[in-house]
Formats: sequence, structure tokens, C-alpha cells
Amino acid sequence: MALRLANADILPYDYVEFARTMRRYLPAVDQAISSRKWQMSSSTLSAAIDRMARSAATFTTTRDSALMRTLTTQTRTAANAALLRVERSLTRPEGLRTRPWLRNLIYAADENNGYANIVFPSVNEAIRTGDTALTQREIDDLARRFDAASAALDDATRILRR
Amino acid sequence: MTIHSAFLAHAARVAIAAAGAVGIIAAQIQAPVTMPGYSAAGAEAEGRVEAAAIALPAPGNAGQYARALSREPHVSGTPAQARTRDYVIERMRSWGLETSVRAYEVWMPHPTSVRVWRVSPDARELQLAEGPISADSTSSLPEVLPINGYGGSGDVTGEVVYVNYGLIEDYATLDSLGVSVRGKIVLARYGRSFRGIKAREAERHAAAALLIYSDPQDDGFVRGDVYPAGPMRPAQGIQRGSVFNGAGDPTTPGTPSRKGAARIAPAQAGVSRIPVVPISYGNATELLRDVRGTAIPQSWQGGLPFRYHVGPGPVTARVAVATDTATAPFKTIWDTFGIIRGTEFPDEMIIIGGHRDAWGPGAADNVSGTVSVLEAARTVAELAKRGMRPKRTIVFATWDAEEWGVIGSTEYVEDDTVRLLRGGVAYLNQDVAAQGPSFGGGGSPSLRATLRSLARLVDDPSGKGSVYDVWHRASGVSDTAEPPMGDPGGGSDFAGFYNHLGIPHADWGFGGAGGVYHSAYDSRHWMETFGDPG
Repeated sequence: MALRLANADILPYDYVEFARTMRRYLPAVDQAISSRKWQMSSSTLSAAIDRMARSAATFTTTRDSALMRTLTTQTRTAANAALLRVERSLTRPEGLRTRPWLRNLIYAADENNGYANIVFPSVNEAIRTGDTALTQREIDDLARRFDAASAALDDATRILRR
Repeated sequence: MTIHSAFLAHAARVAIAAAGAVGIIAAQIQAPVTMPGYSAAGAEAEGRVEAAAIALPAPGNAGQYARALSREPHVSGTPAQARTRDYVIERMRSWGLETSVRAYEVWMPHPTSVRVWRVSPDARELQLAEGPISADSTSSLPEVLPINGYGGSGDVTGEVVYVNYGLIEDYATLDSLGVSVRGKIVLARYGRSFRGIKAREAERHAAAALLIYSDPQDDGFVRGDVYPAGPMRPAQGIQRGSVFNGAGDPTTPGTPSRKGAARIAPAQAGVSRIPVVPISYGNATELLRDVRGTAIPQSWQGGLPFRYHVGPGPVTARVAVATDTATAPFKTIWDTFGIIRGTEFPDEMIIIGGHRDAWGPGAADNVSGTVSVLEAARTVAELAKRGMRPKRTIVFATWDAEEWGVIGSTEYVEDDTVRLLRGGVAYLNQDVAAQGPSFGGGGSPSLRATLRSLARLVDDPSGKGSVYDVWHRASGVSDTAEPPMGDPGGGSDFAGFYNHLGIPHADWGFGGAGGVYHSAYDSRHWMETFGDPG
């Protein structure tokens, strides 16, 4: 694992699988919202994840064809730097409202259990509080962060197309 | 006795890359059609590097390091941890790695005396010791106290109340039954939640003290024969472990615990104020057997051979924990690093790490992970000597004080945040790399495909196909589906890298049934007999 990652020309992260995995977490969010009879939806988040899936697919195709050419170290370094930004974008400096040290917005330990995990913790913890406005803000915040992740993938694509 | 450490050697193979298994000649290896992220020429070269790498991890080496590191209990903050530090550094230096040690000063009080009595009926002190087992040589060494790290201190007496797992919903059930735990000695079983949540909820409900025991239904005789006849937890077996719910030194949230660092008061640090003590099911029997009062909901019955009751009382108990909080609350901890600089992208780093501290001899948790890191380091260093130096920097780390709240890795991440954010490609965690035959993995979904592809290329120790084949069959999913993998929520050293900074993370290991978690019997003898018999 260490060598495969260490020697790659372009870092082999699979953001197609990543986006597909994120998609699977949406029905539970929608279910939690509808069971509370709230007049809102996760559509901004859902659309952002779809955009990430498209950016990831485009990047993968571009990467595979770029690797048929000779890429300069400079190009590879720049593309890899963009890739490093993808998952960093899915964190936020202020962290979770419940636990500021936890900045990652994709997975966290459930604060009520410790062993069980919670996905999209900023959103799902907001739903738990019963605060609709907060939930909508957290959904929109997470959607913006997925868009930043997509932008990082798009940057990597542009660098490899040059 | 010949020590093969077969699973451990395989974990190390997956760790370094693994293009095939030992004994399979190159011509028999199906070259992968594509290697994501590699040019055709790059993939061919990488295939050669991985083929060389796979031949290097040697079960004999793994066994040698494992014996050395599991020869004595090595709890964080004790002199034994200086010895494991020196051993790891000396090994890595001998292979030509650049090495370094980071020391942190951590607020980590250690209990100095832990005692529990049944006060009535029939007053007697409980024997809170696991004790020697003749075939298991390290079990006769001085035993680590029954410690729940970051539990409070005090000397309290009260009626016993049984609270099932001590979950939030269990206390709601107690409310509906009209039972209060205020001022009581709460008895909870391990399982279903992190023990820190059990401590938090007991304190929230004003209990005087919390005793946590390992029910035989969880990992004792209900599950299988108990040690030393089998791998499961014997009646005297104790699961130690931290009850701190945060990450890192509780007094330096978000900043490294360098000497002289600004600190918050321990009272503000979110640690337990009530005594919390782990006990065996032998101990629990002496308290729970005669508890009466309110009847339990049926699902609260555990595996002990009598009917459980909620109480309160009539059994009363006394719990007394003394610590060095007033005299020596700060301990020095040491993280170790071995570094191979990358040739082309030296600022981009892959960090592979595992914790080096334990609650006893720690053969599975986490000598096995430490040894996997060591074997990977030796292999990469050897490849570098043969002209196959990696393009990116690889850092081989061992962390101290994971067992107290992922402290060593957290302090390091808080120390090197800028460098890690800029160049951290991946963190690969090795926590319990080998204690049985069943492969499992997890981490960020961005790295799962890479981990699966490597598992496809390594032969399973069972001889029944690749690690991936055996894993896939055991998972029971359809042919076209992938075996499920774990999500990184917390609880090990990836927390600083992944949950705090967003650096992609992967982990894996070979697991199996066992009842020696955080026990004096997590020993070399247990491993050779049940965990990784080779």
C-alpha cells in the first residue's frame, strides 16, 4: 500500500467510488427529514455530490489518457497538489458544532456512543437537535464543501490537459 | 518453538505493496491490465519493485521483533516505554533509515491503588488481578493495575445498581422503572458503546462510582473455551482502557503538549470525576449475584449463570482509587519516526504508523501493528539500498499513549499540522495487524480500491486463493459486490490525520475471535497458540 501510493505518477485516489459512496448516505438523510415532516430537502447536497461524481469521472478519464504521454515532474506535482485538496475541502476549520477538534464532515464517531459512527456528522447532528434552520444551513454548508472538492478535481483535470 | 507469524508477515506484505506471494514465480503472476495513476512504463517498474518487496517480509523477522516487544507490559508513561522506543529506533537505524523521536509532556495521571470491596452481605475485598497462567510466561510478571485511564479518584461506598451496557437508552429505561443511580455504585457491562460514554453517562446521572465488567456473553465462556484452554476471556480476565472521550492530551486541546505549553485546568478538560474501575466477570459475580430489587428487562440478562436484577442493593460495595494526580500527573511520551526520503516528490508523504503502548504485554494490541510497521520499514530501506528508492517520502511511525486517548499521534499531528496539510498523501494505520485469520479493512472511500487491488495480489495464508478471494467469500456478498469496509469514525491513531485534518486514511489487518483485549493475557503465548500460530 505504501509503495503503490509512494511511486504513482498521479495519486491513485478513487473519487468515483468516493462520490458513489457518499450518494448512498443521502436516502437516510431524506428519511430523517421526512419523518420529522420538515418542509426541506437535501437537494443542494445531492446536486453537489452529483457534480463531484461527474468531476471525478472526467478527471479519471483525463488522468488515464494523460498517463499515455510523458508528463513533466512540474505537471505531476501540480496535479497531485490539486488532488491533495479534494478531501481537505471536506473539512472545516471550526469543526463540528459538538466537537470542534473534529473537522472532517464525512465521518465521525457518534458522540452518544463512541463506537458507532455517524456519516455527514454536521448534518445528521443538526437533524438530531430538531432545528430545521440549522439543518438547512448544515446541508448547504456541506454542499459548498463538496463543490470545493469538485473544483479541486477540476483543477487537476485542467492541469493534466495542458 | 519456531515462530512463523504468518498473518503478521502477510499484513506487512499488504503494507508495503505486494505484487504476489512468496513462492510464486513471476511468470505465474497475472500482470494487472492497468495500475491507476501509473503510466505503462511506470506500472511495469512498479511491478518489479513490488515483486522485490513481497519477497522481503520474513516471518522469522516478524517473530523476533514480536518477542522482543511483547516481553513485558509497556504502559505509556512507564520506563518500559523508553525501552520499546529504544528498540524501535535501534532497529530502524540499523537498516539505514533516518530516525527521530518526539517527546511530549502529557497530563496523564496513573492510578497508584485500585481496590473494590463487597461491603455487604459478607464483607470481603475482591481480587482485582488476572494472575499467572503457567504456560504464559509474561503473566507471572508484575501485573498492570486494573486501570480505566482518566477515571477519577476517591473512596466511595453505596448500593449496587446494574445498568446493562450503561447506554443513554439504558438510563432512560431505569428512569421508566423508577430507579435512580444517584450516589450508587453502578455496574455496567462492556460492549455496545465506548467505555468513555459509559463513564460520562454514569457521572451525568450522579453515580458515586462506575464498575465496568466483561460479561461472558460478550467475550467469555458463552463465546468459546476460555484461556488457556481456548482464546476467550477467563473469569479473572480484565479489560483495561481509557474513559477519556476526546483525542490527545486533555489539557492541550488543539495544540501540541510541548514542555511549557499553555494548558487548561484538568477540571475543564472533560475527564471523569468519579472512580471508574474495570473488573472481571468473576468479580462481577460476587456483586451481581445477590442484587435484587427491580426486575430487569429481558434483554438485560447476560451470560452469568443466575438471574440478573437491577437493584438497588441490597448488595453494597466500596470503590477506592488513588492516583498520582497531586504528585506526578505529567508523563513524558515518545513518538518514533523512521524516514525514507522520496526521490521525486520529497515533500509528499505517506505515513504508516501504529501505536507502541499497551495495557500489558500487548502481543496483538499493538505489538502486531508495531511489527508490521517495522517490517515495512526494513523492506523499503532494503529496496532503497538496491536502487529502488520511493518517489515520495515514506514515514514509519510508532505512537505512544494511544491507549489513553490517541495521544501520541494527536500531539504529533497538532505539532506538524502545516507540513501534513501541505504534503500528507495518506495515513496508513496498523492497529492490531494480526490476531486471527480474517482479513478486514477500512478507511476513506478514496483509498478502498487501492487496498482491494493489493489484497487481490497477496496469497491468503489459508492457501485458498488471494487475501481478497477469502475476504470476499467470508463477507457473503454477491460476486459483483465488494466486501464491506469500515468507516473511519475514531478510536485509533488515524483520528488526528483523518478526522482532524482530512488526510485520506486506510487500515487493515487479520482479525479473529478472542477475549484477551487489554488483558495481561494479550501475550506472545496467546498469539502463538490462538492468534497467529503460523
